[in-house]
Order: sequence, then C-alpha cells, then structure tokens
Amino acid sequence: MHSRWIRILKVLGAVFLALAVLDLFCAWYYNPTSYLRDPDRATDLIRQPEAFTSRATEGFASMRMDAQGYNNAAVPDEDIFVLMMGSSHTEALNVPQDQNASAQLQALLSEAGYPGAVYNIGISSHTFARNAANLPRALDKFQPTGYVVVETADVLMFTAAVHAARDDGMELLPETDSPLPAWLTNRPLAATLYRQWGNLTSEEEEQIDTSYIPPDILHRYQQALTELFLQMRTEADAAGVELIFYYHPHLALTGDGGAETMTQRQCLGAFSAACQEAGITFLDLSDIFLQAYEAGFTLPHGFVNTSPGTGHLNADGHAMIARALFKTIAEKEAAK
Amino acid sequence: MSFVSVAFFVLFALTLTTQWLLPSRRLRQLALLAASYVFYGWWDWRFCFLMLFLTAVAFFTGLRLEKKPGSRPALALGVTVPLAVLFFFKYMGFFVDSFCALFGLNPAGALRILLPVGISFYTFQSLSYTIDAYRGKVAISHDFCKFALYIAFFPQLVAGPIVKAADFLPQLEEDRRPTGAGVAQGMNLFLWGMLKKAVFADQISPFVDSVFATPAAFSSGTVALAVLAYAIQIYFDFSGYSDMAIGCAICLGYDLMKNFDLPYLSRNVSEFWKRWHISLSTWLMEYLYIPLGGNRKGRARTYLNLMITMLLGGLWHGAGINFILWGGFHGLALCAHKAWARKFPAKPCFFRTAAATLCTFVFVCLCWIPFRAQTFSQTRAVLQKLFCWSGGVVFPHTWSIAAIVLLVLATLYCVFRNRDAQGRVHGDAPVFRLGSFWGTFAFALLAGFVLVLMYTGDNPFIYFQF
Repeated sequence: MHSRWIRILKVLGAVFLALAVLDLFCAWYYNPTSYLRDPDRATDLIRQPEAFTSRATEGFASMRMDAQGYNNAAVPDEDIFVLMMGSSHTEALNVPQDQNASAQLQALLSEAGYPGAVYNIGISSHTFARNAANLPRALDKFQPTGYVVVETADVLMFTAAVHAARDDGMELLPETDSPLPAWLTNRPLAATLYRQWGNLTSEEEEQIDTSYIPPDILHRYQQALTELFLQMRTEADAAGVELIFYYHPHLALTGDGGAETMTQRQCLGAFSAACQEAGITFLDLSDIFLQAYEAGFTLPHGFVNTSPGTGHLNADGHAMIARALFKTIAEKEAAK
Repeated sequence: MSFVSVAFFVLFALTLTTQWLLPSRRLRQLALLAASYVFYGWWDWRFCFLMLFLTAVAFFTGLRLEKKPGSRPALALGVTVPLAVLFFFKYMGFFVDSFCALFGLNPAGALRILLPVGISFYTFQSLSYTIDAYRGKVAISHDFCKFALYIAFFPQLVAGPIVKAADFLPQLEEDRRPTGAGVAQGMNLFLWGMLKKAVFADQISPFVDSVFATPAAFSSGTVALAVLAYAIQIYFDFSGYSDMAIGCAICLGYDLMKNFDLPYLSRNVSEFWKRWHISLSTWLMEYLYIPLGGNRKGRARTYLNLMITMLLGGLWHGAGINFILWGGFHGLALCAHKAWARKFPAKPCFFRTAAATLCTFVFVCLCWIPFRAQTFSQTRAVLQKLFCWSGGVVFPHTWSIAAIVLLVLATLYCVFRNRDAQGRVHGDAPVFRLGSFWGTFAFALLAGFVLVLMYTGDNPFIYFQF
C-alpha cells in the first residue's frame, strides 16, 4: 500500500516537472499576455502593461509591452508626433521591437531631425473600421501633434461595418478570447494549449466570392467609405493633425516566377477615391512591394517558420512601410 | 476520421474502454468492428457499404474455394470484382481524361467520381486473402464478423500497413484484449508517430506546397531544401501514420507488421524497397512479381517483371503519369542495381557504404519530385530550377531544417545503438517506462511538446489519397 502511494507520488511529481519545463518552453514559444479593457477606449483592448510577451509560432520575437499596454520600448516623455493605429500587423509581435514599422519610422524621423515621438497603438483584431470608430478617443487620449497613421491589410469591408464605424456602433472586442480564468490565461502553457485547441476545433469560415462586385453595391460601398472618411477628417482637423491611411497587400507568387498583389481592384479603387474625396493621404504599398520583389525577391509578409508570403508583416515589410511613411511625412513637412 | 482529431481520440478512448470491460471475445470483436465502421463512415458513410460489399465478395470467394479447391472461376471472380471496383473509383477519371485528351474531346461532361479513402489498402487486403485462399496458404474464415474485422480493423484501415489474412485472422482466434503493458507500449509508439506526423510532417507541408506550386519564384537553394523537406515530410507522414496505427493496435491487443525501417539508410534501391512501405513491397513481391515469374525465367524476364511490378506499384499510388514515372524510375534503378550487383558483388567498406547510401538517398529524393509535383510541367519546373542554379526567394524554412537535423541525429543514434548481429541498422523508437519517474517525465514532456508544437491546420495524411 505504502509503495503504491510512493509510485503514484513519483508519477505525479514527474508530470508536474514536465509541465513546469513545458511552461518554461512556452514562455518563449507562445506567450501572448492577456488583453485588458482600455478604460479610455482609444483602442478596445490593451495588453497587460509592462508584460513580457514572446512568440516563435510565427517569426521569432520577444518584447516587453510599455506602461500603457502597447508594443513600444517605452511610453514617450515628449509629444507624440505620429500616432500609429492598426491591427496585429502594426502591433507587430512577430518581429523584434526595434524592427517594427513604428520603431523604424521613429529612427528615420529622428535621424532627419524631426521632433516628437512615434507611438504605436496597434492591437490585434483592430481592423480599419474599428480604428476608425476609436479615432476620436485615441486623438483625445494621445493628442498627437503631427499625423495619425491608420493601417489596413484589406480594402474590402462590409458596408455595414463601415456604417457601424461611422456611428461608433461597433461591438467591443471581448477582453479575453478564452473562457479560462484570468490567472490561467497568463500561464504560457495553458495559453498555448488553449490556442491549439481553438485551432483544432475551429471550423473554416465560408468564403464569399468577392472577385466581382456589382456597380450599385460598389457605389454604395464607396459612398459609405466617403462618409466615414469625411467624418474622420473632421475629427483629425479638430485635433490639428493629418491623417494617412496605408494599405499593405499580400503578394502571391506566380508560376513564371513573378508576383502579383492579392487585391480586390474594385474595392481598392473605391477606397482610394473615397480618400481623395475626403482629402486624406492614401498610401498604397502595392508598387513598393512589387518593386522590392522584382529587385531582390523580397516578400513583405511571411516568416521562415511558417510559409513564404503569408501571414503577418515581416521585418522587410515593416522596413518598406517605415520608409514609405517617412517619405510621405517628409514631403508633407517640406511643403508646410 | 483522422488519427490527429478530437473525434478519433474520443472514439479510441471508448473503444479501449469497451475492449477492457467487455467480458467475452465475441462482444469485444463486435465492438471493434462497430468502431471500425464508425471510423470509416466518418468520412462518408456511403462508402461503408462499398467496404462491406468487398468484404462479402472476398468472404464468399473463400468459402467457394474451400468447397472447390483450386477453382479458377472463383479466383477470377474474387480478384476481378475488387480490381474492377478499384479501377472504377480510382482510375476511371484518369482514363476518361486521357481518352478525351487523345481525341480532343471535352471531358467536362464525364462522370466525376469521389475516391473512397483507403480503397487501395483494403482492396489489396481482400485480394491477398482470395489469392492465399486459392493457394491454400490461409485457413478459410467461416465467421463473417471476424473476417469483416480483418478487412476493416480501424488502426490500419485507411493507410496500412497492408495486413495479410494469415497474419491477422489467427489473432482473432486468440483471447486478445488490452493489457497495461500493451497500452503503455502502444501509447509510446503512437506518440512518436504523432511527433513525426503532426509536428514535423505537417509543419513542413505549407513550405513544400508553396515551393512546388511556384518553383520558378524560389532560389535554387530553397527548391533543393524543399525537395529534401518533401523527402522527410512523406517519410514522417507515412511512417508516423504507421507508428500510430501499430501503436493503436498494440493498445487494443493486436500486432501489425512493421512498415518502415530507416529507409533513407538504404545502400541501394533494392534495399530501399525492403525498408520503405514494407507491407506494400511484400505484397507486390508475393502477389505480382513472383507470379509473373520473378527471377526464375532468365535475365530479360527478371528485368521485365521488375519494371511491370514497379510501374503497377507506381500506378497503385494514384492515377497519373507522375506516379507511373516515379514507379518507372524505381523499376529502372532496380534493374540497374540487379545488373550491377551481378557484375560487381558488394565488398563491405565504410566509404563505399557511405557513398552508396548517399547516392541512393539522392536518387530517392529526385524520384520524389514527379511524385509530389503531380504534373509533368511542374516536375520540369522543379528540375529546371534545381539544376540551372538561379536566384529567387530565399527561404531557409526552420521546421525543415529542424527535421533534417532530427533525422540525422536519430539516424546516427540508430547507426551506433540499434545494430543487429549482422550489423544491419534498425530504427525502433525508444519506449519510455511509464511508472518510473524519468520514464513518466520523458513521456509527459514528449506528449506536451507534441500538443504544443503540432500543426493545427487542415493537413490530411498523404497516403490517405492512395
């Protein structure tokens, strides 16, 4: 009886030791840190302030979030010159902190002698529409002095989402994407296993064919975008800043060794036209990406531990965006 | 139902429990049969009837052959029906398309037939029973339930190992049930298989898919890495499945034959086929090569028989010119090796063995190109990129590199530790002793790593399509 208990204890001890080793491994492999609600709602969510985060599931990077829960080396003491809003691409947890677009833009601007900081408030799942809805609160909270840059990886949105953004009627993102208790979501092993479980049991979403959009629907879409952009422009003007939207398409490799952008051309046209109508600078990175591919087979998305050209922006993609934004801002500043 | 799915784990846990609890052998076998049909029907329940039909054909052919030993009509029926079914489901589309292409017809109106998962495997099992029954090499089964279980036994149903009736039916006469030691051993093997399949093979897959889809876009070095990665992917995918199948069977108290034995350590192509997909190569040898005359009818016939066997072996993998090409290359290499070995008998020497192993590996890797590429133009594009060194996207895929390192380390371990009395190297996965502290620790750690690192996208086993 006694020896049986000892054996059970031994087995339990071995399992606990294995779990501890795995937890340590996951602290490096996938350690997302949980979300909190942003009390000022500049973004729906923030990460745990000062939390360490790491991931090797897509790219290899680890970093500490700043005191406000965003991916920056620190909350700047000086004025914010450029406020970067965007999704997980802008949040950039897949690349080292000094290689994301915001940090690289900061370096370029500082080198050129521009005062003020670039501050990144990109958060995963914050689509263009969501950032548009949050814009007035973000302006209020961070009070940028120069520019607000809003990223989009997609120029095709549901018209209803555009209207919801305009009316600030978007449903808030849930604080945590896991029903596990909060203390468990901060355990790297539990978070990783939960992510694996979610992926394993998730069902593929039905794909809607968007290769062609009828003119009347496209017209309504462009109208909705224009209304939203005009409203955003008014908010930006009131805060004394200029808006820059940029679009970074994924590249698809072609059979002849070339590359093309995966873009819904009609929607890109509508998005671009709406920006023009609202007087907002729109930066389409398609040509820059294609030129970089032709010059040196550089792909802006994808990591060596996933597959080429897919997923999030890599360090090369961030560098291209930073350079394009710097050029745009420098031109605007020179024109002032 | 895939081995790497929540549904499978639920089904397996239920099956294991029933096998443990049910008191009579008959009930256990019925439960196992039911589980096997649920497993198969999970894809498409209609194909259960197809499997049942083929089972019935083989079963009644066996009974007929028992009544009339050596009856050629019974044999003809027992062989023709499964082959006709296989042809209809697997090759009809290919031949219709080829016919249309030849005569410039539009194949759009042709019937598109859904390929039942694993049809090649259970068809071959039913054929082996019929032929062995004709040869009097197997005891005729009089119990339909047991025979149906032989055909449908779920661990090996959809991707092998291809089990011969003479090896499996006798097990059904014994009082087989799960034991603690068996479950521990089976779980170990299952886990190693899952590591190979769900972690490495599946993580490599997206990279290989990208490169083979647009080889012209990638640098020659990256294409070479993708070719090497595919060699590892298909090995890990298929041998991983076999390990999982054998592990499941051991848990349930049954034994299946070993299907892989370090194939990339082969010193020549003949040896490769004794180490790769052993159950298929044994089947082809026993039921095709030897009946054709094997090496008993002169040199020219031997080469012809080898070519026929390998071309049909290629075609077994799928209806397509690429598979025929793959089989043809292997057939030619087997003929060349036979001729070479006749003229220059092997002399054991370390450097010669190393060079021969490397050459065999490179040859096998090159043969995988048409196998994976699926079209002739894609094969040409990959070969062009490989041999005309040129630039493109450079992509040092970390999972592929990690798999190469792992394979090299595991191979070195086996070379130094797993040699038999004749110096032949074998690849057996280490078994952790559950119950001991370090054994449990290593098992739990490995299980954790598999769960954490496994690819969770949709990636079916490569051999399911065959």
